[in-house]
Amino acid sequence: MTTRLRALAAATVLAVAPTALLVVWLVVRDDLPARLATHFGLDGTPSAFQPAGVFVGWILPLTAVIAAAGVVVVTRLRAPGTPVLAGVLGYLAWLFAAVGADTLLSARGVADPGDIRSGAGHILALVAVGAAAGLLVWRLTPLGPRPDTTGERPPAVPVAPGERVVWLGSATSTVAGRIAGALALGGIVLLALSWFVPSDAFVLLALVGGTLLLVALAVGWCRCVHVRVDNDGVVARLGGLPWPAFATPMERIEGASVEMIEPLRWGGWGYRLGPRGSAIVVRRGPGIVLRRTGRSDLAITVDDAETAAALVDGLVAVRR
Amino acid sequence: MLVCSSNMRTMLLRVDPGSSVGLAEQIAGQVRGQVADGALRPGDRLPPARQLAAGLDVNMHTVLRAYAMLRDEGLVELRRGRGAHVTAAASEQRTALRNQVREVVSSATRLGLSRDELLDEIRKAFP
Repeated sequence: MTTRLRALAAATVLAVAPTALLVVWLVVRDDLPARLATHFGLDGTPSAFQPAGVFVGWILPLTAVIAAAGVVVVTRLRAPGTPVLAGVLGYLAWLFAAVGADTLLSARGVADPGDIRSGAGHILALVAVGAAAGLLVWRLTPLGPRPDTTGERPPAVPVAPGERVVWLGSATSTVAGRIAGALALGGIVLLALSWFVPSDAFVLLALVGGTLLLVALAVGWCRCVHVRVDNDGVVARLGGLPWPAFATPMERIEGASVEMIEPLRWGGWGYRLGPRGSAIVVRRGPGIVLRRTGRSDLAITVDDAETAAALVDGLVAVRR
Repeated sequence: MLVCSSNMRTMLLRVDPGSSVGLAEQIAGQVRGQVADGALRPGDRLPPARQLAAGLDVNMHTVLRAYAMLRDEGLVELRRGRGAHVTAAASEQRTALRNQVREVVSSATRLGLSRDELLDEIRKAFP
């Protein structure tokens, strides 16, 4: 698909959300009770109600505004973060449209809105609809033009036949380290606080605290990468741990180049499967991009990427 | 190896298994050279022996033997669990060598040797 067609497809997915909600409302408006159930307790019984006109009066414009913002983003913006931003807007537009349509459809023909039931499975299904649409918009939204690869290539590091050569390098993000530290601290504080509050709040605080700790672990894990280039291939390890090791054997490597790695262009931080290929990203900045036989490119952020790429080229040359 | 060590320099090393020079001596020699030309500075951490050994396809004890040689020369300090670091003395040794070179140059000037003649003398001594 061309860039234009993809942008058009992404914009269509976004525009369908408020349109569908509008259609649902026009279809069911005459069969609705005076008030709709808009909020449900943990047991699935409704706990809050709104007049139908008021409910549609805010959720339809909100969905339309988000979708319109998404359409502007996919058609006008060409920045590294465009697909991700469009995806988030697609998720929100479809989530609100799904919530609105679900609320309207479940109230259709019901005399007493107190009889309507909803549960966690219901909410998960609505979130799933939003997530699916968000993913679709993200994948459809075209990337901006590629950044210029760093022009001057250092010559390949000469490698004699029979010689063993190793290059060891790394990249570390101090910002990620600090974020991980702050998140971990927040998680621990919330978990500690959760002991001193009543039981419903305990569950919430403990859940949020635990989630913060998990996110801190993930961010901390992805704050550095260690890279080894040798006669056997290229191995990258996230977090300085022995596992997981992302290894590319030398016989699968055709060559290497040096690029400025823009995380959002490769799908984010950590180990990523993006539109252009796989990537191991801990920071913005220079990295090597390996051209792999029969597979997509693999980008790895690493300091002194010039030497790493030059050695890969030297090792590829000595194999031939 | 749970830490992301920030003071680890990137490092390129090579060994020739066919050479008459021992593998450990080849590794130690290159680290020495990198300290001498300033690529490695005092406080820098040498790569973990395990990674170096895996990359060079040599036994880890060969790398540890190279590191032990460098420690005995006062170029590197080895601490259990903290790896190998270039010592502060390493740059002093380099400075000392530079001073000796200056003395050699001034002696050569006194004897009326040209730059190339001195370099020839050094090449004879350090083939």
